[in-house]
Amino acid sequence: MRLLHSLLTLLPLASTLISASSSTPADLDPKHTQLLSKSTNGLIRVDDPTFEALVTGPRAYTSVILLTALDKRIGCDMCHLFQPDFELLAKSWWEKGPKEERHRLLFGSTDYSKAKGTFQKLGLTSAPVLYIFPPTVGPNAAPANAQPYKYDFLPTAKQGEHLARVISTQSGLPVQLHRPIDYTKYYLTAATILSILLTLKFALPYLLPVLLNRNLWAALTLIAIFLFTSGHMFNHIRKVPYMASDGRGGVSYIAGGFSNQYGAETQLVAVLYAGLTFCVIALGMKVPRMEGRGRQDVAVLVWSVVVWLGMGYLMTVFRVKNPAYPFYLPPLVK
Amino acid sequence: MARKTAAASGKTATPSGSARSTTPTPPIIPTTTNTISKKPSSTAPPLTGNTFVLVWNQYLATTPQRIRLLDVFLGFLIVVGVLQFVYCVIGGNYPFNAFLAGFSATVGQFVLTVALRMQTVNANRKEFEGVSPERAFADFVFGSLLLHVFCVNFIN
Amino acid sequence: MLKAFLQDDSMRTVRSLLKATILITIAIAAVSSRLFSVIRFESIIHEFDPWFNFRATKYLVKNGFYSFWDWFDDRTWHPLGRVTGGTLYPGLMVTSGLIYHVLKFLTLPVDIRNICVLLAPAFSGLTALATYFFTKEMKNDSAGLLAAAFIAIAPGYISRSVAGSYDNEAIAIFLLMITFFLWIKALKVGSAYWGALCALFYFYMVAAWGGYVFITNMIPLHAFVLVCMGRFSPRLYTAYCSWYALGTLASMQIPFVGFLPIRSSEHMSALGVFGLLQIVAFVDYLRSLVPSKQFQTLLKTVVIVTFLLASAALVLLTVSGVIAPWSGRFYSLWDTGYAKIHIPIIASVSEHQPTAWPAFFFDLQFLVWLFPAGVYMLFRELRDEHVFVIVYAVMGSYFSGVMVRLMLTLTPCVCVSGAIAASTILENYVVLGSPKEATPEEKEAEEKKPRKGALTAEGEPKGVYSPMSKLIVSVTFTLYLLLFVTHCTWVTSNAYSSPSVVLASRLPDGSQHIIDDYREAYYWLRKNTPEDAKIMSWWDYGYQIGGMADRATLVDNNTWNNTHIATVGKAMASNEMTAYPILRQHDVDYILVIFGGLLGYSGDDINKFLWMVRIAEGVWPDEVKERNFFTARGEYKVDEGATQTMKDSLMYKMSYYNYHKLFPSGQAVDRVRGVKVPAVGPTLDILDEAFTSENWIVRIYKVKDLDNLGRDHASANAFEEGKKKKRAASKKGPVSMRV
Repeated sequence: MRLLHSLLTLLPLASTLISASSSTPADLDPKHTQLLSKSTNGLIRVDDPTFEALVTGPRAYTSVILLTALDKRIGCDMCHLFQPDFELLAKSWWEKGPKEERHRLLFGSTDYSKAKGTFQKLGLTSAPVLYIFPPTVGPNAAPANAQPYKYDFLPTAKQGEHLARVISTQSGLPVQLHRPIDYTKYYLTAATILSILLTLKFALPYLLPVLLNRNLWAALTLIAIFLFTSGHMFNHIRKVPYMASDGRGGVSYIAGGFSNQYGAETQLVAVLYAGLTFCVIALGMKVPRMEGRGRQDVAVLVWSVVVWLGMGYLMTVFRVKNPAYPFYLPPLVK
Repeated sequence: MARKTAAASGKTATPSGSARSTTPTPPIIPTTTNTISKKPSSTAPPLTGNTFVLVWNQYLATTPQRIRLLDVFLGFLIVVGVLQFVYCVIGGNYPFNAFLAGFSATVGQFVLTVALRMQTVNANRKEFEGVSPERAFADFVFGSLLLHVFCVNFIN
Repeated sequence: MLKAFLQDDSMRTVRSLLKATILITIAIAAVSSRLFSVIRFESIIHEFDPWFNFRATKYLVKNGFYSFWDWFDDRTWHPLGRVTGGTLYPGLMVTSGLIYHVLKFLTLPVDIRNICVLLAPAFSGLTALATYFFTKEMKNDSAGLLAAAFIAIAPGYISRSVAGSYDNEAIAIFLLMITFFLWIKALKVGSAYWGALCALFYFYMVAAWGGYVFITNMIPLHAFVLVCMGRFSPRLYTAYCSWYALGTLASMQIPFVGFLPIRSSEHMSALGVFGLLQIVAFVDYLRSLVPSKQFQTLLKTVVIVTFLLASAALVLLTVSGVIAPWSGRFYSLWDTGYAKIHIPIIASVSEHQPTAWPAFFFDLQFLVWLFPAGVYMLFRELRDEHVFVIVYAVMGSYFSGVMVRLMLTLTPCVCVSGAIAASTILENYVVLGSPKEATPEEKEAEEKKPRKGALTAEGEPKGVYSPMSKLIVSVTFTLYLLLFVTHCTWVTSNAYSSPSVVLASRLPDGSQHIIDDYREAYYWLRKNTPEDAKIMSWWDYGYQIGGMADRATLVDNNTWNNTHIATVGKAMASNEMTAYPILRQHDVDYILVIFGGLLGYSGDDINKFLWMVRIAEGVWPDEVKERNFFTARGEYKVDEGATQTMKDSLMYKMSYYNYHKLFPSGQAVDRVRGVKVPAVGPTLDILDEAFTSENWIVRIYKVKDLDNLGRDHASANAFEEGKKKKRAASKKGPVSMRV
């Protein structure tokens, strides 16, 4: 931050502002009004010069500045997650903040593409970063060489509320986040329900035979069971990769370790389970109803061999996960 | 109501004959009011208060004496339950335990009695092959005893 | 001869005798396969929660039922205390208390500890019996026997019921199966008697395990699905309503449950279906009176509209707060990302993690693919009770996929439907007689019929013709069954029989070495500290300290007060100056930490430390920051590169205090993290090392009293150090100052 203070002397703009602001009462900071005139919904779009103007020189306001990188090519998820909340917070303060306090807090946001210089000067290599610059004159003024407060992003869902609390404690201002009630969501839900009902009404004669089809429900049930027992929920919750590099230039489809897995291996396992189940159903239900001795023998032989090999392969895969597992079925020893 | 009738008649013109012909047993027809009997072109039985009269008559015709006794008891339980609920809303539910115990006793007794009724009605003979009417009554007594033991314990 | 034996009426007694023998053998197998830990170690209570249950049982046996009911425990959650009598599920303790008194009455005095240790295996035998009855209702005797055999040895169930695992689940699975069996029975017979029995066992289940909510939702779901399939019948009404009316009233007798059954969302589905059945039954009755078409349509609309209105009212009541919303634990089952963000304390528990596929295979082995086949076979017949198993299978698989712990609820269903599949196979292939071959004319007729897919199974099964085919299938399936048995034995003996209080390791020469640090430390506490000493430790060890050391703790495994746990987390995560006032305010006399660095024991406190930080940060976001425990490159380090906050934290200091002195200078290694620790160890100002166990797993520190001269501890220590140094210096002559 020392850098900023040295910049202060370099920039003529800043120096004129100092003289201007020092002569006016803190409450009617012209710099403040000037900056605000550039804002949309209480959020100032900051570029390099504006940034200097905002954070240098005597000022009677706290400025909250978000340095972010919204460019798709940079791929900053956190920036995109946080931006709506930040804009909402600025808007809440702009519209709902107490009138007599409103000029004591400024929200600014800058993008990497607009203010590369600022990022370089501050030595920032990651985004988003959020600074809270305390005022230098007036009540709550910080000492001249005070460092700005750097906000820590939390991995929580309600970032905006948390930031509002932090700003409140830092600036002593009653900052609150007002989330607008999202009516469109309600309308959308209502419309969806209505359209579904209407579709149902017209399509019911055609849908009913399908819905009443036992095989359809059986298939759905079995698919659900295969998905769940092959660890699909684990993939969903942990967001595991589909496969990973094995460190020797190749790809490995099976994760090492008992309580770890990749997407590909769960699919393999689900297919194995499905195949084995199918064989059992065929053996138990279809074969005894078959006519003809020869055909029956062939079917029994085929299904039995498939079960044997499938089970053997399943155990081999399991031995990869748990090397201490001592069992295997003969032809497939690893 | 009238609008509904009209709509109904407008919609289903052809099945009128069959609806008429399946209207149950002769003794009931006289009880329907004049408006209908005067309109021979009128279609299916309209859904007015008459239907409920019809239901009532059918009920009287098909229900044996014993079952009616059960139904009176059921009606009594409904009244008690409603009274309890109204008191809870108006007078407050201060000993919530007590209210809950009383109310559950009523509801529990109600469903047990309905179960007994279902098991003993002749129409349901096929459903309940394993339950003779005597067995049903024993079940009822067992269930009720259990219910009231729990209620007494709960009421404090 | 064989046919006569299998079907003849005169042989019925012989067959029942055979069945009884098989069942008893299965029960014996179930019990004995759970005794590995007793044989290998000793008759000891395992893990964490069982220690509390054991302590509560001892209290119950000593002070009687009524004082147990009103038990206020001031030796946990110091200084808050815990209304233990009203905040636990008493079923387990009452069961073992009852067994104790019955045995005493029979002049068989058995130590209460042995009853507690052997309760789970004993009940697993009963579970096998209940599963037999349940499956018998689904298919027949042979499937029932197979299912009983499966559940007796399935590792998914053994994991929670080995000897010494004295936890609620030990009796809960038996109650689950018997309640489901009674429900199916009630539904089939349509009798209020079975319904009332079902309610009674439901009551027992509510008293025994929080997982009773599973039953509370499974039975209504089954009823609801039946109604949706148009299978409403007076039998369903009788069974469901008698169960619900009695069961709900009964469940409210348990103080911990209280008014929840009418107040919380988890129980609303049962209430909703109860209401729905009333309407449907009434409408059904009216319909039987007036068989007019339009009237029936009207009634149908009335049912649907009322149902929709009632659901809307329920939602409204939930939103307005009259009905408690889903509790976090249950909510996190549906919204899987929820717990991680909002309730770290739930997300931190290892058994609440999602299940990877090897765990399924490990716990169920070949049943994992046999069981969908059984589900499909049930679909072919689809009687009312089959719908139950199908619904159970889907819900059970989902829940077990989301949480490792719920594998337990899936296992019975897997065993039942796996047994149905296996018995279908065996019935078809393990028979002696062959069916008559079709005549050429019949064959021709068969050929003319349109070909069906492989799975369409229509008509009566004819049987298998060739003995060779029968032999192939029976031999392979017998092999699979045998493999399953060896697999179960191997899994039980290797994975599920460690008490975790006592650790076992193998010495290089192959002999077994018992590591008994925990008990060593707890007995040290019991013998060397005052009766009313307060011990601070992370909550994992609260129950064990209470049970084995009999000392008051600040937090324990009954994580009811998040703030209190966060306070402990904060004390562990802050530097000494911040931690000391916290320790003083909570009257802490001793602090206990688990350190695995010397032995390579990975379940130690440094590895759990981030959760402590996270939980503390949830309450004091300004004072504790997780980020400060990571290096600039985002690594969690304990060596030289550890952050200053990390090095200053109480937990770090307590773990590594004097550790470097065990090794030659600069050679100290942490075997868990696999790193060198700093050559200069941490210093402690506010604590004195009181005890360190043989393998350094448990370390106990005494909190210093306030300084006599009113100085803070750091300066007092510095003064002492200075004195010592001076003395040392005067003895040894001038030494270069190291500090």
